[in-house]
Amino acid sequence: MPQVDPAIVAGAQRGDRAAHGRLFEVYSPMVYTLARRILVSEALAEDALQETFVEVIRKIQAYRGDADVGFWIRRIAINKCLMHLRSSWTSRRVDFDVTDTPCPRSGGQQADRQIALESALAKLSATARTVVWLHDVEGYTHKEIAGFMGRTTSFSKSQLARAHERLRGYLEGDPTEDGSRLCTPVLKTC
Amino acid sequence: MYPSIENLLKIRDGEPVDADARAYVDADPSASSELRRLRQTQQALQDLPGFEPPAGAWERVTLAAEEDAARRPGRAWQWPLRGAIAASVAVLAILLVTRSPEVSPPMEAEPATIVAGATVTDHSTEVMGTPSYASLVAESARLDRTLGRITYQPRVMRVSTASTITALEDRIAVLDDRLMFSSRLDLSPRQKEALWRQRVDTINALVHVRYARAQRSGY
Repeated sequence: MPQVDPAIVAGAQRGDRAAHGRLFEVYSPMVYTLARRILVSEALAEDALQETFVEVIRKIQAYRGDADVGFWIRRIAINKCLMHLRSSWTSRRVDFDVTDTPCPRSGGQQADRQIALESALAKLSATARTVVWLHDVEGYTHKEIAGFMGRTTSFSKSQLARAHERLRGYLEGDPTEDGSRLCTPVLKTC
Repeated sequence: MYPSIENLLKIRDGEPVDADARAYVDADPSASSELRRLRQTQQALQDLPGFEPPAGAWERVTLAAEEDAARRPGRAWQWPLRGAIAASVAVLAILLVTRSPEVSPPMEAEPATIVAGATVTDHSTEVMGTPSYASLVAESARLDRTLGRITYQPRVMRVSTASTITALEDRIAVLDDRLMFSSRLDLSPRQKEALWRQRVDTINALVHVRYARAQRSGY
């Protein structure tokens, strides 16, 4: 998690524009990456990024410093992403609108594996993708994820297990030797 | 019994798990391999490259934050300069809009479809010999061009700013009408010059309002 000088946070709480800009500069890659991984669509991720920082600017005065400001911002971002997923219109769009996923680029086997994994991740249901990302990458516990999603801990655990089963299926089903075949039909831009 | 994927994930994450499941994984190469695969997948997910926010994202955030602040009471995110600019522009606009025209011949009900350049050409030929008149016409045309370059249109505008802009634009339309029909209204060169002076002052105020608005939104 990136860090900022506490003086920046204090400045942001006083309404200092430069401090707001610094918070954005430091934390926007983290927020945007999180949003891209959960929502997949570039447009939705940018919406979530914007909504996150509007809320950060609005609520920074109420931030009490109990947790690192980065963790505080990340929680806001997660809630914004989940808000998009809760919208029935958006959740349909999230599951199918993965055309923004970058196409394969040359870069050897590791790049191929990353592309295959990105593709497999994008093919998961939005809920499963969110759980696997929050648990395996962001490090949240099942209890915390259940709290974010308004579900039970068992739900989070079963979603994670299902997500890994599907990831295995997608990854083993896609040949990794031929880069041109890594791009699955959902990646319409390929 | 071969452990479920949930149990394998518990072992991977160091959570408490049934002793039999743990023993099975230790003894069975296939289960060990599956556990290793789960760890590798997690590592691969963590190693995926990050994304950089799109260009202009911060500018859009600041605009949205300003709009958000404008919608909310308390307005935590605004700058003292905004109030000063708004106040000075409002005073200037009120002075211009409420000032009585120096010439007020009766208006004919003609549409106010003025192209500033055409208007300038029509009238500049009538009193070309007057330096102040020519400079007013030139200045008016310059301000029209400046105004045309301020293309920014905010999605949300304060009511006071919007009404100021509307009042100034209405005022310019009235002046353009009078200038367009100046020959029919039988205005003297001095009256025409007064109208051009008012047009310059009014359009100058409009340029300032719209420029200030664009600057504030640009953060």
